[in-house]
Amino acid sequence: MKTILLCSDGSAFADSIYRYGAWFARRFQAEAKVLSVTDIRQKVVSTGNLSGSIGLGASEQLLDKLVSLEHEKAKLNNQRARLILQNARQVLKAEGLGEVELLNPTGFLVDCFHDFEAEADMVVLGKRGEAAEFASDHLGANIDRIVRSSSKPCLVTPQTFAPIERILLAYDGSPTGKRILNFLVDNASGFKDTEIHLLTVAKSEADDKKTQELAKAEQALQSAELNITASQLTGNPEEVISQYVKQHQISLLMMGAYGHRRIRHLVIGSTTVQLLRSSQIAMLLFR
Amino acid sequence: MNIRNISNLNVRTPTLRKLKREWLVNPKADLLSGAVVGLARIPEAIAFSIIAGVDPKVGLYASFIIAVITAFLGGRPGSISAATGAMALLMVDLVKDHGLQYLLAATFLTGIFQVIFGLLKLGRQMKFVPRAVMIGYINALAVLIFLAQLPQLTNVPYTVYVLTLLSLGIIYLLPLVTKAVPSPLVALAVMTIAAIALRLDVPTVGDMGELPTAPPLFALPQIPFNLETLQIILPYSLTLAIVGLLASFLTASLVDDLTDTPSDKNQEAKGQGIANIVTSFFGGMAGCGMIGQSVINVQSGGRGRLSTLSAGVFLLVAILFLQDWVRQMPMAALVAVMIMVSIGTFRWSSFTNMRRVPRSEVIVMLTTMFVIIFTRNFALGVATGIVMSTVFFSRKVAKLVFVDKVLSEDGAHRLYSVSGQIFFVSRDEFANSFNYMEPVEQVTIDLSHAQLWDQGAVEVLDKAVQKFRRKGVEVTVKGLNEASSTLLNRLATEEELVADTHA
Repeated sequence: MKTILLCSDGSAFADSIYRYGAWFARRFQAEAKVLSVTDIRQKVVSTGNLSGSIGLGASEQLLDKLVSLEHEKAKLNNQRARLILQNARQVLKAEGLGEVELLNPTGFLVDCFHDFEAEADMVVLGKRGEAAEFASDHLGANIDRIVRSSSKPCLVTPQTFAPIERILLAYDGSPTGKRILNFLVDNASGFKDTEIHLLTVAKSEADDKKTQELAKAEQALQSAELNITASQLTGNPEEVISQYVKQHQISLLMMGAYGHRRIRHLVIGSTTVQLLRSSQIAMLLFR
Repeated sequence: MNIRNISNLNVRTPTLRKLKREWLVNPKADLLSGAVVGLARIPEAIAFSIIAGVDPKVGLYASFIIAVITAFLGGRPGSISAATGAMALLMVDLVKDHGLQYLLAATFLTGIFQVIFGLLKLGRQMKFVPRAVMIGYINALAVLIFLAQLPQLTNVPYTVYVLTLLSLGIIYLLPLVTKAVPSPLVALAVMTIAAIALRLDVPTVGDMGELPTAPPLFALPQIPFNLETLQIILPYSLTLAIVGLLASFLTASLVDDLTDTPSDKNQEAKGQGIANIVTSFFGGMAGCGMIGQSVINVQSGGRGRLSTLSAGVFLLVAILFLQDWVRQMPMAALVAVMIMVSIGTFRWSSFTNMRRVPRSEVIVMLTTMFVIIFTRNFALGVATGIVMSTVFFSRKVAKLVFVDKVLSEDGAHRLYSVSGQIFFVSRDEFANSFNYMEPVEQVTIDLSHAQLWDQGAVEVLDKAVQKFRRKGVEVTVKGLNEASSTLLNRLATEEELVADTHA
């Protein structure tokens, strides 16, 4: 892992984003980049004039007015962006990171995200943003779309940072699940001192295929000299996983994102979104 | 700290995302401003139909269709296109001599021309229209819209003047109280109700011709398809196409400035063309970008394509639902709205700034303006303005020819260092700077900082060298830049001059 992209908007989640980002950056000697997008929608300023009446020199007056309105707004936005990035640098420095690149494009996060994501190996973003800071059971406006469209592992952080001591890997034997295994094996050096719990949720006790997959996965992780606890449980994945998280005081949940087809997602919402919403811990999602 | 500011994200983003941004950038404000503009365009569309001499429905249909089509295909999101005064003024004679059907055919051909101009990427050539010409054009448009209202104000009962003044009062004073309602519409509503309630005997919109009673229907223009028809409509179509594009480009640049966003001029040309083609099949007259309404749109918060679309849709819906009221609308109120539009279109600063602007530009602006006003021909006015600007510009550049003369200490060698642009306007000044009578043995003409542009320049240099040689002086020409020397090699007759430049 070389580059970690931290997406920040200066909300209450920013601090934990930086801390989680720093944790990974330290572990893997990766470079941290902080991305803060100045939303282009804020550029549309309103004169609040619906009179439809234009007098002498109307276009010049309107131009002057728009320029001064936008000037004030842009100045505030720029100031805000600078503060956010400054704060990011301070926090990351305090966390012991040296080089931090700061990015401040103007546009829509969802639009320009991919330009920056392409250069990163992992993306860190907050569960919610400035638009929905306190709606505690809901997700932010961008997160679903970003996680869904990103090809890189996405770390979704809660509002407060907790050191990562126990990791739970929700493993289902799918290609995405195997990619998570590979990720752990490739980056094994960074996870040496963390407990890794490997969990497979089966529909019934006698699901041989899942048991076999689990055994294989356990073997792969053990051969990478990781500290592994493997288990297989039955039931509804959402419930089982969140129960396991509580029981074992898991601090990071790793899983594949959006395993189900789109239709099911539309009707009842995917396991991922359910877990994202209810969990109070950081989640590392893979596509 | 390395903060990268990346502002130009449009370049690589896929079409879909661009579409989304152009349509849904601020839907609420777009719909609201679309409503303001759409309703405000009803009186304008009626007024411009009256100028052109056709039924109000012709302008109203055109305003609906052109707005809808340019919303999708135009190159400038947020600009408003419809039946306009500039175009209406150009069709007066056609309608008078040949009738509506020929206007529809001319509208169709106008659209074809505009699409071709768009495909030929004529949008880039807008740079040849200087700012002074554009301002003259806009001012002339404003004056002509105003003048077109005068017939409605002559030989009419005095109540018409009272209504006009009251309407103007509402239009300009109401915004001081509240900016939440469109004051021109309030003026129209109040005057209509007053006219009905007081049973005033004043001309109304209904007197001016037929209003639409249904959405526009498809129909081919009823004209004989022969060469004679083409001969009639071709000149009108060509002028309409050029003037329409000019107005649309002007509107686009204005909205560019106001919103600080770019536009695609060639797409705008194609969009305008297609809009005119479609309009002609639905009984509408040719239209183009509207400066006044686009300003109102941006002022009301409209930015995206949705504002243009909703302006068209609101116009049609309103006219279909409100036609009984619109019919009884007094012309006086309509005239007041048009006076407001003409005042709002006029570039007042071009007169207040007159002392600060270079005099040649003021002359160009005024000439363009008055040529258009007196001939009622926008194309002619703009052409005059462009020619004048070109002449003024070349004269200014020609003045920037400097010749520095240095005599060597022994008095035998004269060095002429020429700088500036040598072309047909500046050749005389260039030729007069040499002194052939001077008793020197050698002359060097240094052209390192000069550029020869045409045959005239080469001829002058040729002659100068010949004259020096006749006086027994050795001449060397040095420092020609590449473009100049290519020209010289092709055109110079003096052999040594050619040889020298090769060395």
